[in-house]
Amino acid sequence: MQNSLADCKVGEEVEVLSIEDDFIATKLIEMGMTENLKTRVVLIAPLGDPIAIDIKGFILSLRKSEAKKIRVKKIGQN
Amino acid sequence: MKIALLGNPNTGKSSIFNLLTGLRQHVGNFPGVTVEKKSGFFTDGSQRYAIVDFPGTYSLDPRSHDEEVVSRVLRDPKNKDYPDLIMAVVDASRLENNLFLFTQLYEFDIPIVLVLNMWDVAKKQGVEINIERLKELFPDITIVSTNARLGLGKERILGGLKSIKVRKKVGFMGNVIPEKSDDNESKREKAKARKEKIETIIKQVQTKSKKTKESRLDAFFVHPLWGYSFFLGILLVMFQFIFSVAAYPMNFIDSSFGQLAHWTRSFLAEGVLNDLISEGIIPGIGGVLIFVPQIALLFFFIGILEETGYLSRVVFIMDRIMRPLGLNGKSVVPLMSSLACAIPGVMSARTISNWKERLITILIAPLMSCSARIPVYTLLIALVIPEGYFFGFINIQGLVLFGLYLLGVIGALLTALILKLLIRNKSKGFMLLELPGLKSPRWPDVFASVIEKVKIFIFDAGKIIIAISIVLWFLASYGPGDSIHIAKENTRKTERYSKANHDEKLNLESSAGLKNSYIGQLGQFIEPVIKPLGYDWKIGISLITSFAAREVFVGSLSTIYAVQEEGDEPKKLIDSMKKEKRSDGILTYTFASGMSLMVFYVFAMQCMSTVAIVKRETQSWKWPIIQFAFMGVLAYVFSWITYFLLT
Repeated sequence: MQNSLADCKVGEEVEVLSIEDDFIATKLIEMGMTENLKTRVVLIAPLGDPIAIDIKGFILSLRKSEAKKIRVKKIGQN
Repeated sequence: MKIALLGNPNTGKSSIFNLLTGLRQHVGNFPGVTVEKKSGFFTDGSQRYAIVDFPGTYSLDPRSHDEEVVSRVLRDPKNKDYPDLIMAVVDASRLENNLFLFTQLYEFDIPIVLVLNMWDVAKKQGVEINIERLKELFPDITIVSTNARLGLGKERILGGLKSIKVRKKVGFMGNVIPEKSDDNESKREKAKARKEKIETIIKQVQTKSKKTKESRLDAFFVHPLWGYSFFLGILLVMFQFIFSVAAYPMNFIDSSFGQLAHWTRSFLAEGVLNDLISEGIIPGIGGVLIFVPQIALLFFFIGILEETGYLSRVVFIMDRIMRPLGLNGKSVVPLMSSLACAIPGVMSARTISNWKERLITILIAPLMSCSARIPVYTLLIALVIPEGYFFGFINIQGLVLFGLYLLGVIGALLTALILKLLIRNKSKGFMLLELPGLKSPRWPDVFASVIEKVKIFIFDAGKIIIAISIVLWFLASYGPGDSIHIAKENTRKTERYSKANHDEKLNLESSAGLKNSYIGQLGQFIEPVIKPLGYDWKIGISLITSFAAREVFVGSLSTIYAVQEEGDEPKKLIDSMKKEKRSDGILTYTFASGMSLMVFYVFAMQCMSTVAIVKRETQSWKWPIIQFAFMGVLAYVFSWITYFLLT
C-alpha cells in the first residue's frame, strides 16, 4: 500500500519510495533522507503538524506540506 | 594562518570555537549580508591562528544566506576570509549525515583538519568508527577526535594543526560542487550521487551495535497539554527572574551615572563642554548600559534553552500556530523576549533562516509591550482610571493594564498578517529542522553567547544611541536666540520663585528652560497635530523626549511641571497632573486623553535603542525607518479613535 509520509501515525515504520519535489528532495538528501531509507515517525506536534522522523539517529522535523510530497510504504505490508 | 571552522549545526562547532579562542572573540557580519561572523585568535606557542566560525550548514548549495556565504568565500581565493585551512567539525555519532558537507568541502584544494567531535556520545550510542580506515580513504587530510563538550581535545587539535597535509587535488566527486546555475533536478542528481558514495564509505568505517532510542522527555515536551503548560511555566519563571533580578543592576547603573554626571558637572569648568559631557555624553552612555542587565539575563535563559535542545521542541509545537501569520515556530522566542525588552527580541530573531519570516518578526517585536512602558502605564492608570472592582473582584486598574498588553499582542499579530501580504518573498517557505538530542548545557558556551550579544548591543547599537542622545540633549538644552536665558530671567522674577527653596528654584528654572528649548518649540509646533488626540504642547514635548526611552516620559513631565519625584512613586507629579489645565481651561488629563495617551504608547516606536538595533540587524536604515513610520501611524490612528470614542 502506498501512502504519503503525512498520513503516518506515531511509531509507524516506513520505507521511502519517492520524493516528488526536486527542491525538497535535495534538501532532504543533504540531511540524510534518500529513497529506500527506512524511517519511523517519532513525534507529531499537537495540531498534527509538523511531524518528526528518525533518520538513522538524526531527528528531523518537517511540515506536513513537505511530508505530503514523500511517498512511503509501510514496512511489514506489501 | 587563517582557519575556516565549518560544520553542520549541532555538531558542537561553537564549543570547539570557544575552546580554542577562549573569550578572545569578535562578532561582526559578513560583508553585505546579515549572516553572523565570529572570529577569534589562538596560538600554540609558536604559531598564531586566526579562526572564523562560519554558520552551521548542511551543504554548500548556495540557496540560503548562510550557505551562500560559505560557498562564496571558499570559491574565491581573493576573498579576505579565504582560508589557508578548513577545520571541518563532524558529529561522530551521526557521521553519515555529517559527511555530506564534509565531502563537499573535500572538493576544494584547501588543506583540511577533520575533527570527529562528540566521541563519547557516539560510544554511548554504540557507534564505532574505524579511524584508520577513514584515514586510508582520505589520505591527504588530518583527522583528530575530540570531546569539546567536556572541554577535551584542544591539545589534539593543536597537534593536528602541526601535521597539516598538502592536498592532492582529487576531491570526492571529482571536484564537483553545486553551482548557482544548476536547476533543481541537476542539484538533486548531484546530491543523490554524493549520498550514494557516502553510503559505501560508511559501510567501511562505521559499525553500529545499538538501536537509537529517543528520550521519553520528548513525548512530554510536545504533549498537547503538558507541552504547552511546561513552556508557559518556563516563560513565567524567566520573566519573574528577569523582572526581580534585573532591577538591581539597572538601578545601580542609573544612580552611578547620575552620580558621575553630578560629579563631572561640579568638577569641570562651567561651559558648553561641561554641559555636553555631564548632560549629553554621560547620560547617553548610561542610557546604553541600562539595557545590559535585561539583555544579558534574557540571553542567559535563551542560551540554556538552546543548549539543552529544548528550544527546538518549542519551535516544533509552536510552528503550526504561528504559520498563518507569516511567521514560524522560531518567531516565538523573539516575540516573548520582547515582552521584557525589544532589543534582545530583535537580536534573537537571527535564528530564523527565512528572511521574510525574520523581517516580519523584527518589525512586529517592538509592538509587544516592554518593561519600559510600565512606568508610563502605571502613572497614567493611576491618574485617569478609578480604583475599584468589577463584580467585586476584578481590579479595574489591573484590567486596564492587562488590556494594554493584550492590545500590543493583538496589534503585533495583526500587523504580521498585513506584512505577510505586503512583503514579497524570494525564498520558499519550508522548514526542515533538526531536533538535537537533549543534553545538559555547557556553561562556557552559554556565557560566551551572553557576552557576544551584550558586545553587539554596546558596540554596534551603542554608537547610534549615544549619537541620538547627544542630539536630544542639544535640542533640550538650547533654544533659538536668547529664549532660554530670557525665560529663566523671567522665572526668577516671579512670586513663586522668590518663595521657593533651593531645589524648587532649580526645578522652576529647568522647567522654563525646557519649555523654551528647541524641543519645547517643537512641542508647541506639533500641538495642532496632536490636539485631535487630546494632547497639549507639554505632552508633545514629553512625546519627543521619550524617544530616548519610553520611561523618560515621566521624567520630562516632572521637569515641565517643575515637580520633584519622590522615590519611585511620582506622587507629587500625579497631583500636579490632576490639576493641570489646557489653555482653554479644560483639564488636560481626562479619562479620554489618558486612555488615548496609553494607546499611543502601546503602538509608537518611542525607543531609539530599538531603532538602532533594528538598523544593526537588518543592515540598512530602510527597515527601521519603515517600522518607525508604520508604528507612528498605528499610534496616531488608534489614539485618535480612542479619544474620539471616549469624548
